[in-house]
Amino acid sequence: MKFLSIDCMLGSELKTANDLSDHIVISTLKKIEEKSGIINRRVCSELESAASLAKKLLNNIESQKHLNDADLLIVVSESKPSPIPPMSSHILSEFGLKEGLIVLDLDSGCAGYVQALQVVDAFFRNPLIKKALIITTDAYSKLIKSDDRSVAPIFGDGSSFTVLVNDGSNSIKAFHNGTDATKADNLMTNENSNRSLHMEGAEIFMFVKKYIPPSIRHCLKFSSEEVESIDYFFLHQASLLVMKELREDLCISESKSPFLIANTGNLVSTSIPFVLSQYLDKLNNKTIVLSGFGVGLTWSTIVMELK
Amino acid sequence: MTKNDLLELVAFALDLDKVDEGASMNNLDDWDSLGHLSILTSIDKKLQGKASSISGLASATSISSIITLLKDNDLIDE
Repeated sequence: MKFLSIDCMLGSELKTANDLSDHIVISTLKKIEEKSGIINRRVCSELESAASLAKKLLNNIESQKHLNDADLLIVVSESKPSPIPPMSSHILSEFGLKEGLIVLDLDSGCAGYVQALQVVDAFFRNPLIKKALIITTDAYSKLIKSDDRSVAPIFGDGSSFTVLVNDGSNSIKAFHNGTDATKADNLMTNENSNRSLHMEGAEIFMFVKKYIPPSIRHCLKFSSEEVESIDYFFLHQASLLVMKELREDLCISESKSPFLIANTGNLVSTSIPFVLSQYLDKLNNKTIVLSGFGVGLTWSTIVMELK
Repeated sequence: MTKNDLLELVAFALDLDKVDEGASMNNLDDWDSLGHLSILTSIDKKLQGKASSISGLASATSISSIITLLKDNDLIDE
């Protein structure tokens, strides 16, 4: 598997702590900013949506070319406007018939991109599947109340478009996945007509502490790698607090585990491809770890060896 | 860890001089959701990573409930 390109599109509106100061006291916002490492957030305007961000990414000649000759498209999103049809239909509605394209939808949030890479890897065992695309897109801001300090200062909106080609190499050296649905209600939308996101930050934090370092250690052991032999750890960008805990637990340096969402917010399914896109030209002959975790509560970790 | 260690640790996490055994999220302004995360992080460090395996600790928002959970898991000395 080879990454050909990753493009990203963020919500067009830039929000700062001041934008929430009518709803949350500024001293609290500053404390949250310090802990989360998130200073600004990019969110959708009233006219934008998760689907429209993804459509913007596809609306150019190069993307159209990939869409027309790809064999597989995976759309990762929890932000579809209605239960039926799937998000892929909302995104592809303006792009005509795609005969021969396998289209799959995953709604596993922050773990979804890593899961999608595993699905692509499995499809690429068939040499007839030559090109795969992954679209991630989420707009949590549409589900967030401005006075909810557990989520309002944290999340941003974004979309990504990854193009992968089958070069015959088996890039995924190890994987580890899991889900603890008994804790699903710690990150969910309520059921009333004004759907809004509810997050129990402490429960999510303990979930991450409990499962993510062992998941990464499992993958390292299975692929006969050490923390030192891994070039980069691309971990879900939840918050600086979570990133610092994972770095400390696994003894990973800051330079190997970038935190790049200070000016975007937590981009949910787009968080890992967003970081990866900024490192893509540095990844030849590198061994990397990717780990996504969140809603479900679900996690997904892989070790990739890139040519 | 002793009870005194826990009280000192919670006080430090909340940036307070001291807290007593009656302290909780309900009666301390500084024990908000962020303060709670600091407490959990500090307990986990003190217990060398064992805290994340204690079921219910994330929702224990008083000193007394934390002590009960730590006792149940043999992680606090009398």
